[in-house]
Amino acid sequence: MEGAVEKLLFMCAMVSILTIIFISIFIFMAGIPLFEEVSIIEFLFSDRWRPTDNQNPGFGILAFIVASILVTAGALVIGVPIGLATAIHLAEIAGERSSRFLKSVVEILAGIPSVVYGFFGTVLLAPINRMIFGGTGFNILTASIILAIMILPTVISLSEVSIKSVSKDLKAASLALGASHWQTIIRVILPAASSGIITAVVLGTGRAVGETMAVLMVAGNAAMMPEAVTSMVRTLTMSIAGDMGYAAGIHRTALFATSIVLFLFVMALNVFIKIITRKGRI
Amino acid sequence: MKQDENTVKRGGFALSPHTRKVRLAETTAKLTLWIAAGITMGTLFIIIGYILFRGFVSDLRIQHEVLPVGSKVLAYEQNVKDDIVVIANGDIRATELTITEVTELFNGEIDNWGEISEQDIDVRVFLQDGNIREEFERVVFPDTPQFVETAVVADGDIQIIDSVANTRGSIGFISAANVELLSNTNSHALYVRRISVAVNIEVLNPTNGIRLRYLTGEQIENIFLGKYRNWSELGAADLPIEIAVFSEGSLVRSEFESVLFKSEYILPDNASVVANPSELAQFLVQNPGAIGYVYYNDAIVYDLSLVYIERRETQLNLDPAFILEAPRRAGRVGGISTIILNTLFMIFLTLLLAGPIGVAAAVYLTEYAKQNRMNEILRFGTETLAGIPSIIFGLFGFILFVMYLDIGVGLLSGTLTITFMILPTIIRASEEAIKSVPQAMRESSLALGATKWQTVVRVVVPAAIPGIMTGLILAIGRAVGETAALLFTMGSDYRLARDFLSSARVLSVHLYILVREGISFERAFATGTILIIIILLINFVTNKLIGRMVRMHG
Amino acid sequence: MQTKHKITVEKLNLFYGDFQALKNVDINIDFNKITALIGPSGCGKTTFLKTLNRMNDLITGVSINGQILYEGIDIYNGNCDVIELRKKIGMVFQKPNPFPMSVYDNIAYGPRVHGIKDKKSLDEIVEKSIKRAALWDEVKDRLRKPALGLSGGQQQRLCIARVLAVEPEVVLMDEPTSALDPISTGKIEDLLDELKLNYTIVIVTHNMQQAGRISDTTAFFLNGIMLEAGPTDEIFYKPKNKRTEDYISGRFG
Repeated sequence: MEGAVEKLLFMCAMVSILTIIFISIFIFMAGIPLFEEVSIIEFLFSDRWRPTDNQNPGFGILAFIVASILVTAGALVIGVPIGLATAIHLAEIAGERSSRFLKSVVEILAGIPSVVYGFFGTVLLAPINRMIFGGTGFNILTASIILAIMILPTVISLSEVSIKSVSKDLKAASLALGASHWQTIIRVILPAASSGIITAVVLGTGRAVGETMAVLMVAGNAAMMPEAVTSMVRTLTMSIAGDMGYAAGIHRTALFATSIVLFLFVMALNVFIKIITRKGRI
Repeated sequence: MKQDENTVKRGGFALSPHTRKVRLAETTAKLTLWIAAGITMGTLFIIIGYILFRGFVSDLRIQHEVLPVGSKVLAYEQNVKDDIVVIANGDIRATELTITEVTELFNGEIDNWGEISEQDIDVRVFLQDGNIREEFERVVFPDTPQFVETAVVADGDIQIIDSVANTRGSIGFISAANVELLSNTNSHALYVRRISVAVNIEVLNPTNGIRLRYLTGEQIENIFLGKYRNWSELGAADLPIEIAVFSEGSLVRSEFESVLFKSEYILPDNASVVANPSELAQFLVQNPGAIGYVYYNDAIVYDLSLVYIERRETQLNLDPAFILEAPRRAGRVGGISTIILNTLFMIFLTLLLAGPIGVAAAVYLTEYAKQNRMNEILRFGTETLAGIPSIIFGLFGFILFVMYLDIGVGLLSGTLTITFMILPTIIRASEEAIKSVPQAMRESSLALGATKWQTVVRVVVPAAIPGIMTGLILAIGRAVGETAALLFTMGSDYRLARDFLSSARVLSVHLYILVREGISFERAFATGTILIIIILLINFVTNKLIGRMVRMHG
Repeated sequence: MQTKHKITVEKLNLFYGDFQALKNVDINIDFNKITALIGPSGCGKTTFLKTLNRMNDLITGVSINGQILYEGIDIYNGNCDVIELRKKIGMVFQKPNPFPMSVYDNIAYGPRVHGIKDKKSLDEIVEKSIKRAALWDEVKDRLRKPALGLSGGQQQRLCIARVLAVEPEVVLMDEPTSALDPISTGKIEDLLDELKLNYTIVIVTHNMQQAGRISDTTAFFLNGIMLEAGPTDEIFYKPKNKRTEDYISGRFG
């Protein structure tokens, strides 16, 4: 009886691994056929995306790759400094009460659904963007700002944990040598917490790259190479989500191939994190 | 570091310049950190505050080309006997209509009251023949009169009143003389808004200066009272205001004055008088800054430039009615009751599936697994699963459940997809909870002769319930917020799901569709508010649970 | 202007919230001497040590009254800058805690933090400090290698060198050898003997023999009260207080 139970439980635990394996298999099987018709080079490096053009279809996703990169980079540029600063504040400076309050704020931010963030971007940020820059207001800038807000909780909580876990002895040694609190933070605490902070940033990147709904609502959805911060763009996730409802045939296969690219990138990030954390521990 | 001459005595310890620099840097840095924390907090408050505010209070600013007030009696000629009143069935909530709406109701362009009074009731038209019909046609239709094909002809006012009172959603017209006959019947007279304000085109599109965007009812009142002399006083271009009014005794003049002015109206001395719309049109063309009132249908005929008149309606948005009513007409009308129910179904089913599997997996990982390679891989699997973007889950669910297993887009496919997504959350939280159960409890159970399994089921898991529940609730939060994956796998049918295979729209998908299709921003805010309230509730409950856990285990 | 004592402590009381950890402590620390603080665990000697360089400020809920004068300057005065104080009073901790940096960077940390950037000066200071800590021969060829690669005893001497690099006048030591093996302990005790020529040293120690060996003055703490202080020989062989005698002869603690 015990043995049977243990096996049953084991199978439940296996579900996660099996799911990942299955996801990979299915996505690959659904997407690879594209490359019988379209070369990988064209797929990855051409920005000509005309899936429904029967005479001369184009399946280049470069514009989407660039869009994803820009929007994510923007999110990091805005979100990481604010997030890291908030984390340092939480770990080193905030008092008991304000720390608890701020932490609840971060928790709530983490729980807000992405469609609500996208909605907020649509009704408040985009009009402001429109007022300042003209145009539709739905562009890289708005998307980056929304994504930055969305990755704040990840960056803040993980960084805060890393900073707090730096040994108090090191902090004491630094202060005893006559360093100021801030000098101690910059020269001793942050370097010691660096692997945790980098992990936080990488996880935030993963979240930003994989985000679908919010960008779908505010990034503008123009399948072209962006030219400025105020260009309307379409990211990889938007391309998949947007067309999936009606795409057929090779168009649909191309979407699956796009999801392979996304999937591989996210996997790469996860592996990267594993490498860093292993190094950090030594 | 020996003290040098360039130091400042401060409490006995010389403060070297470098230390002063360090102190300054520290203060600046700490200030920056406070600002960053403030930004984080401020962002949350702005997001939640704005959405909740507009979710509960809808502040509509409606701009229209007719005055916001109307007249019950549509006068035709000087003879009161020919005046017309438009009546509607008592079930219809609308009490006022614009003249264009009246036209479109009678010619069939509007066939359902949903667009006007948010009631899903079809329009039924009753007519009567004779002089009154001719008068009605001339008042209501700007050009060729055309009634909807399904219009029913009744015979005389009394029959019209009878038909309208007994036919749901119906409208008709009667002579103003018989208005008292409406009392005690299930019908009421409608106020018709048919007066517009026309201006010289320079006011709306000046060559130099700011264009006039809209006027409020109060501003129009004051203009015609003579209180403004120049358009610049109203924030528009620098043009003198030239008022035109119709001659005394004219219908439009008496309607305008009775509709707009509460007390007696005195004409300002610089007002010009015109006899008919044609003269008004001339006056407007010849005088930059000219303004006059006119019947809307006449303005169309003479191609006059009309000013938008704005009125504000502040009313409750999200209210119990909204939650209890079902959506209709693609969500344009009605509430979100079916959507809430669909969401609840999804939550229930998901818990049923993901709960046991997740807890079982956590039990295995903490109680049975040894520190070997296989289990490291299992753990890696769980962690990686948590990082996969939801759109990929959506695709996976789509390929596997909708296509390959042919379950189709519906409740079941969506639930299965969501289950995989939230599994890591449940496993992680349950693991933590089980781990924190004191070893002593397990040992005493085993010492009493219980098997491992019995210990787990009777001792460990019950003790870990608060933590497990926390994980489940957090997982629900994730499921409720999920949109992309559900769009392809659970569908977007806003009716109540009938069985496991029905396409079903949930709250998050509903919000998305409302925004994407531009259906109704007021309802979008209400939906967003509900989502936020759910999140806040989840947050509150899990904090209480964690608080209880901390007190139990210390 | 030289005061009679380096540090004068008068009627020092310290509270952790409601709990009183130090009661009316009066003691003088003398120039260029080694003062040892002995007593059973939890008697407050480490707490007292940390009041001298205001390291207790880091703990929330601590309140202090009384006076500590450093060469006549009240160090708890609101105007007194803690950074300057800690430049003059350095601290070595019980467990060696080198930064996760190279040997060089550890030593250079103090000077850098206090504004010295010029490479030549830093090199000089680093070499001087390591030599003073009797560690030079062991690390001179691995200055740029991680400090955490050194043995426990070497790390502690590194920490001493790190403190010396700041050129303090007083060095506080909180049981510096309790985590070390006998050989390293011996090396550090020899070191202290040399250091007292240039520095004033206050050392908390659990090890009475150590106190007897190296210190000039000894103070005995019990339950937050400083029972007796005086020349080490007197304390050890002719203690005035019975409880001091009991502790010395090992009847408790």
